[in-house]
Amino acid sequence: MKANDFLSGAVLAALGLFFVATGKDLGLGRLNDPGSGFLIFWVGWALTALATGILGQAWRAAGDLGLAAAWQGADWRKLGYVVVVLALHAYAMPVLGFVLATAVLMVVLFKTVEPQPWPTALIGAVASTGLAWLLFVKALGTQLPVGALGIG
Amino acid sequence: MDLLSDLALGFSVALQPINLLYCFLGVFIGTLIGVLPGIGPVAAMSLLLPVTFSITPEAAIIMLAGIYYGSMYGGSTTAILVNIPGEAASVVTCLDGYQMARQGRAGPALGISAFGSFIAGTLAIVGLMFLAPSLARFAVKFGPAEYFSLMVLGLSILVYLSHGSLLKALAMAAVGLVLGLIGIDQINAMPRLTFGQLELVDGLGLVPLVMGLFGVAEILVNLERRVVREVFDTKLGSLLPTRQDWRESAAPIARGSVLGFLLGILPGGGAVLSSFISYAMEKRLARAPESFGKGAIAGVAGPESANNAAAGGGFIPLMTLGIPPNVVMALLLGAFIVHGLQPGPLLIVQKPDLFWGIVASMYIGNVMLLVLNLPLIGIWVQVLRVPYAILFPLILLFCIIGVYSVSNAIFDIYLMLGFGVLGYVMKKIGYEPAPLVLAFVLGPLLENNLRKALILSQGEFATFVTRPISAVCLAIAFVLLISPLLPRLRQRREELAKEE
Repeated sequence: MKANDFLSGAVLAALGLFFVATGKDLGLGRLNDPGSGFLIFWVGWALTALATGILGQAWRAAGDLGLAAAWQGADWRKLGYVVVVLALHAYAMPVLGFVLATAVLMVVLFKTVEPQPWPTALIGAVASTGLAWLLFVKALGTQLPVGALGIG
Repeated sequence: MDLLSDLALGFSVALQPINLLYCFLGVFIGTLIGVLPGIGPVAAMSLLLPVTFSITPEAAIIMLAGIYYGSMYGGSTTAILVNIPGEAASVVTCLDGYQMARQGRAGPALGISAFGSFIAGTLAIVGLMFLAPSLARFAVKFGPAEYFSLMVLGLSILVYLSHGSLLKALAMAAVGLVLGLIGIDQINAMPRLTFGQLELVDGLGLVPLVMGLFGVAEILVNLERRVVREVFDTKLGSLLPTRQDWRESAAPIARGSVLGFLLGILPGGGAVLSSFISYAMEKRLARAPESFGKGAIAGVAGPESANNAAAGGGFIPLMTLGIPPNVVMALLLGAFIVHGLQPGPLLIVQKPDLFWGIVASMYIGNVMLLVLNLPLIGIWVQVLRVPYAILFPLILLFCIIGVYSVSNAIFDIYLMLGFGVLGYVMKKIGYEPAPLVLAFVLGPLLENNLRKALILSQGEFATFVTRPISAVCLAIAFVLLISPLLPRLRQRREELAKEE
């Protein structure tokens, strides 16, 4: 964890200093009338101190596991792929509408992440989208994007 | 007599057909998500929060509460039959429950788990019923300084009890505090940390944050390791424990109930911790501790009772002080606020029908769980056979719908994905999301009370240490936070972490 703790400690220290600067910009006010930035400023300092502690612990942890050990087995391609597909779905939903965008999303997820046979992917996509639409839109009155095609 | 008339009022609310229906839906969905690994009560409650917008506050809270304690029942089924805990509080049930199943005693394991849960759940409601009104009367005396110090104490206990590095847990709480302050300042209406984004003016949503850190992150972790669930193919046999089983389980159930209830009240305690401590306690008290891990029924009865009692105990600080002791209760606080209700000392006085209705519904929900779950175990086993490759797109779909329907904003889906990736990275490098989420919820309340206390005291920080309740809270928080410097306390914390 040593390398991870170094990296995370550094990121948290930077974040802490950013909070300090933001708090100052927002205004600290006076003690009898604290401003909008008062708590952010002091939490920022606390975070910076804690991050320094994490860095110090990482420095002292000699012979601990490194970066590779913690990330062993991470399938970055698959994870990145799933996140990008979900982001594209969110982007497409207002344009295509919930039903169309979601049916495509489900086919893609069923077929490509842990590949299923085509009939399973297609039936699974149609059934899950249809049931979700019936349950949320029709039964519970949830508002989901209708898109240019007017289906949603 | 007052208590009886209050309870009668509660039952008159809880027994209304619509509330009975939502109570049933809550415990049913709760059991289902408890059975399914990969989606816990936090994600399920976030998902269903928008669904409650169109129903009465009573029905909404009754359903969401049912999901929580229902999930505690369901979690043990997967632990016993598949050796995979349906949710975190059932991790220790795997140790002896699965061994019992392998020895052909899955039925009694499931049975004692259900009966223990029922007894503990009911005792916790009795405790809630007696303790909550007195605590609420006491809490009326609280001012901003007391509330601020109590929240600091709550966060400190959560940080202290989180396993792993105290510094990392504290850092997560600090990040959560600031994330909770994003948006318009409640006191002088100034936008903070919005970066010119209109979507951030109202602050970050709790649902995208929770769904990302708990739901999406869990799926990302599961996707990189092939999830194989082999349902143990055994005859369940009779679900009724034998007389000998009862003899061995009675004391663990009683101890688990008391321990779970007390830990549930404590901020940061909750179901997970209580089940681990109950297991460790039963092992220490057992005449044959070597039987633990080899199918000891006490190793199922104790922890399962403890986690259900903790679920009930957690309602006390939320409903009497307005302070959520854990992430699930933080979500429930969100549900109260969405429905225009402010949990706190005045809730029992101003909305007795709601408070006592929830209490009564928990009695009914516990009976429903006992009556329904034993016959439904066959269905839960079938649900467990659905492969993860089919299950994860469905969970993601529900996450997307849940997040979008709260705010009708695509931006929140991006937020959820961002927090999902963050949650995944946090899991990999040993940072816990729970302190972040609780601090996120408490952030605005904590800041508000801090500033009010300073304004009222003319800028005197001494107000926090001269008021007795505030001083005691801060003193305990201080001792907990400096505990790593005190060898004895550090040793105790490490023991707790090991037990987890």
